[in-house]
Amino acid sequence: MAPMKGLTVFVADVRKCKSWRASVDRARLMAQKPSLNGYNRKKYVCKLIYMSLLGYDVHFGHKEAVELANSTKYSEKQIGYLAVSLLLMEGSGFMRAVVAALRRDLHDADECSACLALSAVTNVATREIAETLTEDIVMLLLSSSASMFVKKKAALCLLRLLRRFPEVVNARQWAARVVPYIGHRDLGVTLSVVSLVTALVQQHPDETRKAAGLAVRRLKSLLVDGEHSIDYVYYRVPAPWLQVKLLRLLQYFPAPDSAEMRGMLTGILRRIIDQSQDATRELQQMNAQYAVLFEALSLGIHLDADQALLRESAALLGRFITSRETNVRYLGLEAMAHLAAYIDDVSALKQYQGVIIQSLRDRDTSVRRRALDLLYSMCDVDSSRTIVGELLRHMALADTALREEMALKVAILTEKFATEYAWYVDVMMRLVSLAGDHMGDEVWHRIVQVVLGNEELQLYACKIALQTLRAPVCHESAFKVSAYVLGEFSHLIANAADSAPIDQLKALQTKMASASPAARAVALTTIAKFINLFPEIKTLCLRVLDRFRGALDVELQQRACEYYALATVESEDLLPTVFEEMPPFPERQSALMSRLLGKDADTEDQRTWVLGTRDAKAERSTQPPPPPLPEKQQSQPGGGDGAAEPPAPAPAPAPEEPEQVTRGRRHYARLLWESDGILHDGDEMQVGVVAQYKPPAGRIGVFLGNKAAAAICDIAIEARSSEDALEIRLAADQTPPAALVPLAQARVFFDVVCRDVFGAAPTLRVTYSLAGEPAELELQLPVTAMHFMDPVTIAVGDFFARWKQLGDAGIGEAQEVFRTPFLATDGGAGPWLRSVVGGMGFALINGADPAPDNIVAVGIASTEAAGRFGCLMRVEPKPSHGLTRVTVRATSGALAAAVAANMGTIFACR
Amino acid sequence: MIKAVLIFNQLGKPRLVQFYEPVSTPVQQAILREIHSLVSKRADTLCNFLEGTRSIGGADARIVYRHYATLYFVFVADQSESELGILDVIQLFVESLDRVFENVCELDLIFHFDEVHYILSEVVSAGMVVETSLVEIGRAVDEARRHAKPDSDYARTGFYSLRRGFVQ
Repeated sequence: MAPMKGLTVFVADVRKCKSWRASVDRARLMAQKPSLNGYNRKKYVCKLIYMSLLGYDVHFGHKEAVELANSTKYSEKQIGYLAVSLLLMEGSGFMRAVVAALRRDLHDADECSACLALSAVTNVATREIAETLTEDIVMLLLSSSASMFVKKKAALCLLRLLRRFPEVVNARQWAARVVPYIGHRDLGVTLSVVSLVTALVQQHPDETRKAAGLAVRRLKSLLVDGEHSIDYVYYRVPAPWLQVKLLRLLQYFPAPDSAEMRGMLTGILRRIIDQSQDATRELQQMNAQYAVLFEALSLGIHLDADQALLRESAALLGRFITSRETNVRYLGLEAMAHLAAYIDDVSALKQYQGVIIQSLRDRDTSVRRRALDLLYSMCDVDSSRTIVGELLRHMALADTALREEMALKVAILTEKFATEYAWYVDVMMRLVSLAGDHMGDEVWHRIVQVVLGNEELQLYACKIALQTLRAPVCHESAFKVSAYVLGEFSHLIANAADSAPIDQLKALQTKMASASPAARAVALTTIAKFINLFPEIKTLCLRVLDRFRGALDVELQQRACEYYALATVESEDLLPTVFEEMPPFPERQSALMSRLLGKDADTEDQRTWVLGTRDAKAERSTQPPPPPLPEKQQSQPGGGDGAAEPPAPAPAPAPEEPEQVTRGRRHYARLLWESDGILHDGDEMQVGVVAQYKPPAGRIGVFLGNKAAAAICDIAIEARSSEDALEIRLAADQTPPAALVPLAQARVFFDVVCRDVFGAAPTLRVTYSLAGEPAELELQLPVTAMHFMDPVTIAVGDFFARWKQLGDAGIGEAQEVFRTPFLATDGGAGPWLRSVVGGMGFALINGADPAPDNIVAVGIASTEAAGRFGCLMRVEPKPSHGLTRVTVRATSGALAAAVAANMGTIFACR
Repeated sequence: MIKAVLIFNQLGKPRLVQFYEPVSTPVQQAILREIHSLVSKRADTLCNFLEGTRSIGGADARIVYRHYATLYFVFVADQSESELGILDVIQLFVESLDRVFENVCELDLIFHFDEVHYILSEVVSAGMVVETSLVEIGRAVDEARRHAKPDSDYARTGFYSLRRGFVQ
């Protein structure tokens, strides 16, 4: 490193030079001289290094660098190795010569040369080096003659090789011998070895089991006994870096088993926390102290042993996040996010929620980012509304870099913590409108998936979709969601005011004009689905498709042509089959989550914690993973009678039973006012129902689906009514299926005839055997006297006249008051109620009742033997009280009672 | 692990570029420019940490930097390192530069880049911190200087290192 005048001049020249191309050429010229002496070669290589520093890709002069590395002079060697590690890329032809030099120097008696070689190995670290030199380096680390100087470098050199070529270095053989060096008296060696062991622990946990105990003892000697050289005290903190490393290492181990160790560790943590309480003025000391403290908190959270400690940590962190020092604020938020990811009860953190939300507005983008992470991590059902609301509010102000992540997190939180469907739809629609430009397609795809998977959501989603389309500005993603949702479920709102098919089509068309090709493509599919759903607007839809048949965009043109052809083919089944409602999406990890988590490289240090893992952790701790299914069973899905197959998994444990029942009840309740849907959704069998009534008769289609992995056989199906007033039997041409292969579906039709008003719904009994195990399902079929009712419209003024008439006659009246708390909280409940009444077979008489929220409706039930019965209903919702009064007056008392009972079931299952 | 150590001045001129993973020169320069554009905009009262951008290593990477007079010292590290720890290491690195060069300034780094590299290799190796004692670092650098003197011969240094080993 003696000054070289030529180099100094060169550097000065280059600095002055506007275009240093000329200098490069000069350096090149020099290299072409036939022979350089050591000094000149060194100068030349130095110039190359300098040029590469400035960003010039130096492809020449490598030979000179290698020659320098092979020199016997230390100063030349030094430059040579530096150049080799900076300039030579892997796969260079000069590598062989470099390896030879490295091997020679590693064994040099002079430790400085050995160190140079070790540094070079760490920087170059090719496979060839790993293959040939690993053993020598292990020897250097373990030999008693090598100095501390060499040992610490050798340890890190091994770490580098281990990370790059874990399969070559064969760490299993020497890992156990390295571990005791954690207790080495030289802190420099200890530090390097701890880094190495941290990597080893992750790859070879068995060989390095002892490391935890050694690390704890080392921490104790450092902190409690004060055994350290004065050189390692950094601003009055003893070897902060080593402390941090040791604390980090311990996070890769589970909590120690022995009480003694645990006590020692808790003592150490407590000491670190106590020490940090002393107010220090000096910035550097505070930095060092906090570095240790934050690591200690992480370890405390990881060990999860002492709840008192965690509570104290939360309080300490609460102080940090309001600190004036930005660094402390930043790290406080980060540590709190870690804490929130691990503690079961986030209420200790709730009190800081306001402060954290404030931090979203911090001047520093790094702090804002951490605040977002923390909010995401600490969010639970109670706080989700506030947090999501705040995040949405900040979305508009947030910097663009943060917005994507924010949008993703809002989407995940909303989905995870939504308790009301309306809220989910509202938030997501707002989200796509606000941040649509900044997020990938995953978000809008996910919304569609969720809507498809939740029937309760569909009606509301449809309404919002139409609203979105009608808004003056509609973001592209919002447009896509709206178009898709309308395409699937627009029939649900087709009867509502202003939502007739033609209105929907118009709304879609208006926004289509300004949408991008991708969005138009989605809209074209929607229009094709409209043709299927609403034959009445077929011509209009066809006209739109026809226009796009000449579109410039290939995708649009193709879609338009294909849909047009589909719609004009002379076949009744084709269109309904192609555009059948989409099935719910299979549950799997949301694409959003995978996007957020990304993937980790495998040879680097694994993260000791991941954001938002609280739920995953809770699930782990409460229920062990289910044992894997026997392989045999999965490998023969179509197995015949199942004699050779192992028995089916044990029936669901008792606690799940009530949940199944309520779900079944909910399915039943929905079918009381909808004509088709799922009646039973078990693990093995799914039963769906489609009903068509022509009072006093009807036809019920029962669909059986096999959800199990094996075939279901010996199927017998039987429907029975307990009353003579209702007749139910298998339709004439029907033969129930005997067996169902996995994922297959079969349907059976039953004919029903209502002779007189009846009280009890018929039962459906399905028996079958799965894998040799007989099973039985007994379900209530949603067929009640109310189902044999036709809507009747009467003049607005006539309703209350009839109402009074019936009331005076006193033939049949039923009145009930139901608890309906959802009316107040859910904006969509009013319309829902109307659709329920409409779906039950009543005609709604709008404007008859003076109170606008009340619903009055009329229907006539037909029976075969007893004639027809009129039925009037009045529903008075009181959202403020959370109650709804339902009054039914009919010319048959039994009918009134049946209708009121059905209303009760529907409300109870909402 | 520390992925890279960069020193550049306020204008973005590189003064030291050391990557601990194989990265080609053009990419190195692109990263340097990107980090410069991120860091130079930040006021000194803001925190010393930044999340990595996509080209640097994504959200898992942390850019930890310190600003001294005309120079920025930047360490890029992954999540396995303590941020404050890295901040300390930067301080340590600068203090050792200061000791070696006696009041280090930008020009020292320009004209003695080889020596700066050597000092860095005494502080950080293989992306890990090797030594945190200023005394030890100073000793190592002195030794290397003595070795590199043109008149030094191996017999004497060999004897010296023997004695040194004995005394310890």
